[in-house]
Amino acid sequence: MLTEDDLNRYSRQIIIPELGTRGQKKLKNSHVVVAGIGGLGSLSSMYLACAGIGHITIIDNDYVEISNLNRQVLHWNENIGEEKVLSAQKKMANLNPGIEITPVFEKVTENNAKKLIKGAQVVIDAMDNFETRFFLNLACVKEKIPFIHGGINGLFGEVTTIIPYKTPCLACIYPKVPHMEKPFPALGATASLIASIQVLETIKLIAGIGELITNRILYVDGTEMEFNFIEIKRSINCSVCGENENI
Amino acid sequence: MIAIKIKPFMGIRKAMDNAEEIDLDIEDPVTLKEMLNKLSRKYGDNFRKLIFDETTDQIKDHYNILVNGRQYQHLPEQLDTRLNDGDIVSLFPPAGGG
Repeated sequence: MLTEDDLNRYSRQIIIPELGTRGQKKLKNSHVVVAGIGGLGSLSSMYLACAGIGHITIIDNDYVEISNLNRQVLHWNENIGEEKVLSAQKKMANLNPGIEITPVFEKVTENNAKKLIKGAQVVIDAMDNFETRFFLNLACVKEKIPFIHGGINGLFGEVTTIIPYKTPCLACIYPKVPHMEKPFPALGATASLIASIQVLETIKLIAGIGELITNRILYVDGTEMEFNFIEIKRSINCSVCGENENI
Repeated sequence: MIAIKIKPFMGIRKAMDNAEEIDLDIEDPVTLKEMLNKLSRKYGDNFRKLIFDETTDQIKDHYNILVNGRQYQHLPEQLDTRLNDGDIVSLFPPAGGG
């Protein structure tokens, strides 16, 4: 049920014909997990909160550092040294006091990933490394929870929406954990671009509208300002979602 | 004669004279590895160092090399996969930061 305050707060998006009050109610009744509150997660958490996602769980085990502040817009100078999830929770609650925010100060591991995402309708991949992404991918596939993968590197980034057992999972795309340079290059504008697309995908998924980025990766090259879709297919040999899965 | 389409993205595109797509017409049957070696000879070091490990001279296993949308590592013959007329090979690096 939408309250008077909801109808005012979300009035500009309720008039989007595809969304309407019906879609807004679905957003209000939904639970989204944002894994990682860094460059991607800062932006996606804010827009999910503004859009009225009823329950948002944010997961991160890091503290705010000065080198985060070029891109992680939920964390400010005064938050240096704080747990990222608490720094984020404060601002998200101020943005929208009508939603529930659950901060989880924990590292995503192979053992706890399933527990951390339990009950979510969508999980947003806002991690900064492939190792933990693979734990989340496995957990999402096994729990049949859609997983919106996003990643950045300097001026380029990628997004794809994974619907377990229907579209390619992360292990179909990356059979082996890719090697990453550390620290990886990162710009706020690239992160916000990819995170915004992840939020759009999440909202469309929950509201049941539009076309998703499935069976393809959107590959964004900010240097040349090119947006390309690359076709991807499920693999029957995939160790996570394939017919011969062994996990 | 078979025609194979190559779609390079990011650095690998720059190494391939900024071509968005390349149509390769090949007379003899060719495997994925042979085709990558052909491209390497044509485009030189800038191409080679992106795809091949400089120490081992093997193809980097984290680079995205897709044949018709499937990572070559998932294909039964992997790098020895025989390419067919009309196949599309996409080449791009992973973006893993966040």
